[in-house]
Amino acid sequence: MKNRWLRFLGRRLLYMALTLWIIVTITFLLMSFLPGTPYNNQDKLTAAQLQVLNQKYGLNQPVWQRYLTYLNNILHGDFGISLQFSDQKVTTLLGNRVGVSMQLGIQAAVFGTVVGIVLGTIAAMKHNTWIDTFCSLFAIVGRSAPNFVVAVLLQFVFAVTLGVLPIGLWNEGFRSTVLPTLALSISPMADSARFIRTEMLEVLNSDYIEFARAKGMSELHLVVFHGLRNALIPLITILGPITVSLMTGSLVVENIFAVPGIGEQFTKSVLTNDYYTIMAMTILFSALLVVVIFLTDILYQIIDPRVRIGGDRS
Amino acid sequence: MKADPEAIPQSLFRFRHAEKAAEQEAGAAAPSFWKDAWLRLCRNKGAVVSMLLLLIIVVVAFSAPALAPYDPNAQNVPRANLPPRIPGVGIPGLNGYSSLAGRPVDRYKLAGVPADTNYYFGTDEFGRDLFSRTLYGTRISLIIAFVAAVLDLTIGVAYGLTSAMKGGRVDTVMQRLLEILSGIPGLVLVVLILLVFSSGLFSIIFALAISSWIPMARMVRAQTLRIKNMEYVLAARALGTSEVRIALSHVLPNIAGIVVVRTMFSIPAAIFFETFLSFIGVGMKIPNASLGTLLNGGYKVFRIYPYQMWIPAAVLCAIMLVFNLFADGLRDALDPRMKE
Amino acid sequence: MKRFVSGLLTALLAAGTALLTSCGGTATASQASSAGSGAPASSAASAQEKSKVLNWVAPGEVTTMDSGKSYDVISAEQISFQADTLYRINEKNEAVPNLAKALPQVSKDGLTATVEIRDDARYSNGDKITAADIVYAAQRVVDPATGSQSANNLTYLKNAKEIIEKKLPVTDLGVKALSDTKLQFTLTAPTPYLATSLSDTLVSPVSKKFVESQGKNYGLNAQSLLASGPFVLKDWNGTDISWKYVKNPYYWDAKNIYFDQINVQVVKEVATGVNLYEAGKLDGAAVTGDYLTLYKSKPDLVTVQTLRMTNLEMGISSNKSLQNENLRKALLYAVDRSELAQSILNGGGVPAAGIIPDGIAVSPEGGKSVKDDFPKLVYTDKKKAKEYFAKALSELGTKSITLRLVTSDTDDSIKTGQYLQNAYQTALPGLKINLANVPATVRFKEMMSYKFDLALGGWTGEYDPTSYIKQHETGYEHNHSQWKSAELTGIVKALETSDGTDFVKRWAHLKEGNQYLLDHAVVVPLTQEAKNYLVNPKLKGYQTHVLGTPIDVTRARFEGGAAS
Repeated sequence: MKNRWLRFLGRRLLYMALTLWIIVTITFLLMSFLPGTPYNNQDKLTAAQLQVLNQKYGLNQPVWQRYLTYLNNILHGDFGISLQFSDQKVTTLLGNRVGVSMQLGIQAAVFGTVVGIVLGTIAAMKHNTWIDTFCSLFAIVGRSAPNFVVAVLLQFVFAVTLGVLPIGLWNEGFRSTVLPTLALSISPMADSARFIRTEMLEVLNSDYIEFARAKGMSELHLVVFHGLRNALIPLITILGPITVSLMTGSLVVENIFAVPGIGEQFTKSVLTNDYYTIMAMTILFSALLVVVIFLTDILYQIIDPRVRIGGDRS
Repeated sequence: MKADPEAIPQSLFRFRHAEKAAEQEAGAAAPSFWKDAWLRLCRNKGAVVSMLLLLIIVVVAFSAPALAPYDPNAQNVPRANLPPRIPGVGIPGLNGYSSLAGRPVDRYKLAGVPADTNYYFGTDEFGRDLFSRTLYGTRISLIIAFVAAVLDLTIGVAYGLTSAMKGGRVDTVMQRLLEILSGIPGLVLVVLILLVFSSGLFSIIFALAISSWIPMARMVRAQTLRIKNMEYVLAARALGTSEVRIALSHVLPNIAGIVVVRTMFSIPAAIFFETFLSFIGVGMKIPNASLGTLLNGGYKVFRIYPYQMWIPAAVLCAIMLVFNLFADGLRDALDPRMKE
Repeated sequence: MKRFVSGLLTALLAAGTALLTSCGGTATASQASSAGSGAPASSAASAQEKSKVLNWVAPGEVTTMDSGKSYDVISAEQISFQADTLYRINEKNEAVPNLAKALPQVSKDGLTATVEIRDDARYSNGDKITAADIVYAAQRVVDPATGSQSANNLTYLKNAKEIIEKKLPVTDLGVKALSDTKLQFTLTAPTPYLATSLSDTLVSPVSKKFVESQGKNYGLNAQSLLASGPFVLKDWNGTDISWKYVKNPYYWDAKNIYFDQINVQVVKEVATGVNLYEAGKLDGAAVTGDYLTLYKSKPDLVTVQTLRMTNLEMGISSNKSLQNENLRKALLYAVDRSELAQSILNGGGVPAAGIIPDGIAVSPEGGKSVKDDFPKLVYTDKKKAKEYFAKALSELGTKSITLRLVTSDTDDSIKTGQYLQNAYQTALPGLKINLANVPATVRFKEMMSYKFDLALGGWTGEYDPTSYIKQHETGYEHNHSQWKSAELTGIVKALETSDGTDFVKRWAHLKEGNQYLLDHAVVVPLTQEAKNYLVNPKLKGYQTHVLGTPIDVTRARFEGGAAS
């Protein structure tokens, strides 16, 4: 068993590294086809000046050479400089901001999921009552309202009208995180409520639950120890990637609350050809994704031992 | 009291060999299952009502050219940002009044609009009729929703099923491929798409096809892995049923519920994705509206012209609601365990 | 295994409930916390302290705080808090002595100028500011090793162009320190705009000793910068969205600086800025679009015109139809600029008066503005436009023309594009406009390849109006239309050389260039950009100007009690 685990772990780590390398390579190649220059003052630069700048930043070299240099650099921990923040290290840019986005993302994912699970469970237990209808309605509305609409409404109600929470900015500790977290948590909340309800209904109607019920187990016990365990499996599949995308920030929500996250950086770096920021963001995002998917697979194994690691049972 | 087996009329029995013949005739999917499902769907009141509503929405949206009172792209700048006015409805918010310096003012009079001209949903910053734009926008969003759902149900489901059913090395490779696909920044691809194609439906579908089905594929795989080791599947396999057939008639119906829920979620995601594309220049050709672009324009002026956000939001929610109710019915109908 | 799962679930649920309760109870719990350590600057300060603190706003992150590298308005504005300049721009857009003691002394041929600088000026570390620091600053800007994207802004100095292109060493730049306080500038050509040009932070003093001690890190964070201006930058580590300035005790004019501290907050969403302003968290906010309508005729609203001209540019070289002058004239006269400026941009611009923006310079005789002195050549006349269009159609032998209009993907560009599409299609039946909104880099690439129909572009000049004319000159790289004309080349050449010190002749040539470009409808000027701010009405003594930074609050003060 132990040996098997170690082999599995080693193989997965190798795969993860390989996956990341392929992503880096493809992105680097695609990125080199992006039109235009990475210099923001493009209205004014002359061809001669462009040449001087390209030389300075090593952009006059052929793609493969730049690619090899880049690989070599990142292996030595040098992620290059951001061209939209003239000569600022990409690691400084992301380092300053990634924490904020991650905090908001994790808070939103945890809060959203927990509330979603509770709502979904209640809805399933009270199947076909007004509580069920209300919970489902909430989930549907929550899923159809984009988070920027939710953010604007939350800001208007809780900050502008009632004045109980800050309108924005990042200087009141936990209080500053409440509204952005709520805005971001709406969609994981709706997702998990919906999934849990669907799965829970299936589980609660199954024979073994009927049997357990007949044996006189309490409904709560049934729900928590039998229902949830089964219902969590599909949820975990979607939750991983959702958490990763929440952690890498939301462009509009962060702007609405004037929060120093990285949400805007991805979009902005692609639109301004900020090459090394694009690469660093890609590496950050895909590394998180790969790790989270790996963890998800392990979690499956724990929750549902029937699913074998590596999926090589057949 | 004792039953006399002889007394039961022959007509009440169905013979196994007859059924088998019918099954073989129809190929992989048993016709009785789909027929059953349809009958069960028709028995569900909520599903029938929502199906009708959905049909109405689709018909209304697709007959937008006939129903829209104005050209959705025709500007009339002096009549910009008029609040909704529906004749005969005196409710504040729908009577053409909005507050100016704390007092309600008849905006239509202020803009010099004749009394018999009404904008049911108001106008936007260019004086374009929002009712017409919402009609046309709904149409576009429905098309995109449909495309996203189809992509989910075809590529997503097929990919997930194949990956899980094949297992082993194939599964590993397919999963790593998914990770790579979701790791490459979509925006870079989108900007490159822009260089190759111009904006329009084709670009949107292309962009959706790259990545929109990935969550579905993951989910289907996870569910299939769970089900493929269940006793009845093992039994079917022991009986020599082919893998394809196991996947289609044993696994698929059992994961239908979760597939339907996931599809529902990918619809608003696709609608918002289109909005995002529009602003990069790959989405619908400006000035054509979609629900997403209407919402995006609306949230920015929410404090000043709230109706510009509420109306598209309400339409979107209504569509989602109907879709969901219908999907619920569909799921119940498809779930073989729900048989009475 | 079962235990583990149940434990995990319990933990999850507990976390959820904890979050739930903390959110529900924020109204009470958080008030306690904000009085504690959690809240700096914005709330805890006492009223007396607060009166000397300004809570200011920036519409985006600063791309650089290095005075030699800045190229955008946001950075230039922030740098002007901490970098002193030789001259300052006053309300009338004139240069007044600042670090320099008097206006430059220009030689008879107009090619050399001497400037005397103050001898009591010091950096924030107490070091003296000398003429050599200005020389070093200017050399640093044109030095290819610096990679400044604004290097071309100094081409009024002799040899700058050659140094930028690596043809001459930096020491050949036309600026020398004659003594510790005396500077001599050698110019490429005589110019009436030397003093205003020297108000740019690009030529703010930079200490060579300090730059060399910081090495590669110079300017990358607050610690690696030395202030020569009224304030010292604090709490900025390169990419933040909030930072602050504290008063520089060594600043020569410190007695006229009122604020002890200025907090700057980046707010990108206009609605959020307005909300924060209304709640008294900010003393200023950038305001655009529909929010302007809420503040029309309120004292809070401050409008400043900028040097950005938004123009409809035409790919004359690549599109056969656009080579027809009558078609171009139809485009020039068909658009209603005041509707565009007022109803669509909501005051985010004013109707363009010509090629050259109003306020950039005044006539040498009588000091009249561009708008007043130049003939009115840009106007709306839909009837005339129709006639020109009909003529164009018959000359081109066609019934309809389809043109593609490329715009960037910013809000205002998309809006303007949609407006133009509709305006042209309505005013000129038979004309079809296809809109393409693309990222700025894509639009720019199309324009620089000179292959496009119509593009929503424009030009932003610095201090010399010549660049607006020169943009369309035959050999110029950014002449997107590729319009070729010996006449215009002649005008530009005269402006750059032979006009010499005869500023009256020079002004006449500017007028002539404007007239030429509009007579041939080489470009369709649309609007001159305006920036709008909400400013706390108690804030007095700030300046707004077309040249340089739009709004300058360094010498402002609160009057009538504490801040809101």
